[in-house]
Amino acid sequence: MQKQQGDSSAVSSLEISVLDSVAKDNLRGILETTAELTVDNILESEELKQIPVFGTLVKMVKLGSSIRDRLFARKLLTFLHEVASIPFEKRVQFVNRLSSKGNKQRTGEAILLLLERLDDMTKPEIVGKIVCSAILGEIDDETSLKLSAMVDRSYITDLISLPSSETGKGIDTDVAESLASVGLLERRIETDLLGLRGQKGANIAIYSLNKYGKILVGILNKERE
Amino acid sequence: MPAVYMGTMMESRDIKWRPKFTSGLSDEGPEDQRLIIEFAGPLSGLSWVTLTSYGYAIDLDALGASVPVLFDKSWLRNKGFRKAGLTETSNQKYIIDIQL
Repeated sequence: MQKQQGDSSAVSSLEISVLDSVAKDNLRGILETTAELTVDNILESEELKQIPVFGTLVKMVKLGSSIRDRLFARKLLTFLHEVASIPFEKRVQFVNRLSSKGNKQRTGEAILLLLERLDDMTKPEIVGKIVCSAILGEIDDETSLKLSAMVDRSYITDLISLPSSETGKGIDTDVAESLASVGLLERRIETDLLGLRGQKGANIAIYSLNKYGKILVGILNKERE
Repeated sequence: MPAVYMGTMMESRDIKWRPKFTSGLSDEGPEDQRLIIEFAGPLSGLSWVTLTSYGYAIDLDALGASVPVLFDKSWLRNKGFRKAGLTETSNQKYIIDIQL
């Protein structure tokens, strides 16, 4: 994201405004009017300026916005689309709770940093689903941040295969190893009693969902309105 | 109680199957949703046993197709692959514990 010299107060307000956006009344209604927005025109949308984080973002990048700024805005929009599926009262409660613990700015920062880094447009949707679970109290805030960081570090096609990791024929060992390395699967060594992957009695790596993997699969499989 | 079946591979490689404990089984299958197969003989090479990224799995559809008399049942049909615990009790004697 482009930042100008002496713009620290704007950056700070961006962190606050991302959570003010989460708690925005009629968020869903506003987002429904933005379905046609593209990377080209996202920062010119008058409707989006009603959402605090976009209002601040537009002010920050009003001159010479880059592709990166526009992609960031697109990621933010995708994230907020997910969050908007949660009832307004729950979203307000969530942000009030963060404020009362003095965590609003820190959480806002974490969300912004994460969204900026995400390298795929499906990931902001997944992070949005994770934050939805935190808003509903299904997971705690730390777990939400950890899971989001794991999503960031995963290769998107590996991540999409996570729910299949313990069903059917399972997943490729390479994919399983990659998901284990980001902290979503646990790896254990067992003996191949039948020799189905070579010599009988050889060691084989078996992968299963760990605590975080199970939570993330639950979130990915959950259908929200 | 789980449903328990026994399979013994003969020298001809034909497998002789019989139910060991299936009394009181309803159309819904065993109450604890467990199927146990006690198998004598080499399991490698059988189409319904596979090793996946999450460990050994039994393809219940393939099992039902290969032994329809015993395993083509409503409570086993269209279940596909199921994770299986495999224990070798003695040389080439196995207990396969399947959670349905």
